[in-house]
Amino acid sequence: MTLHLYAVTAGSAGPPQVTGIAGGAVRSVAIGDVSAVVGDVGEGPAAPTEAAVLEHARVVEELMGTSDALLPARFGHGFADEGELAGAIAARERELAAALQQVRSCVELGLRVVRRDVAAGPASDGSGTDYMRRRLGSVREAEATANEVHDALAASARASRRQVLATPKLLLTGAYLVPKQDVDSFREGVDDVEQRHPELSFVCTGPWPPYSFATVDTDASDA
Amino acid sequence: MPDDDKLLHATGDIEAVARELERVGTAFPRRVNADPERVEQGLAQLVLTLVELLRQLMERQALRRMDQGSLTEDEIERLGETFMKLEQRMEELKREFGLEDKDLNLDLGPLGKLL
Amino acid sequence: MSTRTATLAEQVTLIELVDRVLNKGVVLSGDITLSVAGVDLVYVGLRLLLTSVASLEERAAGEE
Repeated sequence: MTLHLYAVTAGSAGPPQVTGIAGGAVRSVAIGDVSAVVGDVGEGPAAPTEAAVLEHARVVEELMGTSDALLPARFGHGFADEGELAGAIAARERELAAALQQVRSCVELGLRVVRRDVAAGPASDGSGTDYMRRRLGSVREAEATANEVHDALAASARASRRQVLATPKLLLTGAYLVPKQDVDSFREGVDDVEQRHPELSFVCTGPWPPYSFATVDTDASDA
Repeated sequence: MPDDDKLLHATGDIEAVARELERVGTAFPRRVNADPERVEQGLAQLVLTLVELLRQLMERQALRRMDQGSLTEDEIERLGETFMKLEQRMEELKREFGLEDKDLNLDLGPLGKLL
Repeated sequence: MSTRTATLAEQVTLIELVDRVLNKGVVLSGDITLSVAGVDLVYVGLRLLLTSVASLEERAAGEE
């Protein structure tokens, strides 16, 4: 029997009232100051099929209803037994405690910002230097815009993550940790920023359980 | 299917966003075409994805160094020429193999930060 | 919402959800990230490139 991990919660949670992947039972295991919410998934790790991923997400979503501080787990290989699980949790005790404290009472809001028109310069015109200057100008401008948008929104979030220019058109991918009661005003903030940038398209999704704040991401995070 | 009440705000061009997300390939990725009759295209897809990845990485690195002022004028010129030629060649190869940008998606997973 | 927009909305939210479940979220086991999805779910991108050509042919042979 493999134990599939759904989430880690602060303190001892009551028995989760939800079934898991492939209808398996979901239970809460107290380990030190936290609880690990796990499910039995049979032999070997649960395969990340679309159905399983959606079920995993559903379980995590349900847990958000009863836990104020919850760290969603990534869909992973699972654990052979509770001993292995307890060991893994003990090894990350401090990070888990810090992360749980940070996400308490918060949800995650996701943001994608796309540039409508990306100046596709004439590839073969001009010298190598012209090309580099154009590209540098374009990247600088894109990064400045992405930073402006992100900073405006990060200011009203407890924490944030960002990735700039994953593709030439995908200007910004952001995740914002926001107290539950502030979701509406955050959305208004997105609206405001969008008004200032008619050349960009914004899609804001959520509220999500705080997946992006369950790990410490040193490169892309802001305090 | 998840509830689409997760869509908090999307007054803009959601189609454009959907298209870019498809490029980044964060949903269940398409298998490389492993149909034996089209293995050649599948292999081209692999190779060109790698070439495109390296091209973008190298170009970003070069631009960063240019921005920091640590490239000579001569180096800038030569790098620019090379990147231009690579870009052109990529377009030709894509056309040759009937591949579009979205077939060369660059989801690097945990290495995504490189870009 | 038009049907088209509703479908796009579903598409986008599914991408966001899958991205979170597979790429974000806490990791407690050792050799995480690159191997989370095993062989089946391989990003068409760097990880697929790291897959040997042999397994590509293998899959071609075994594909339904």
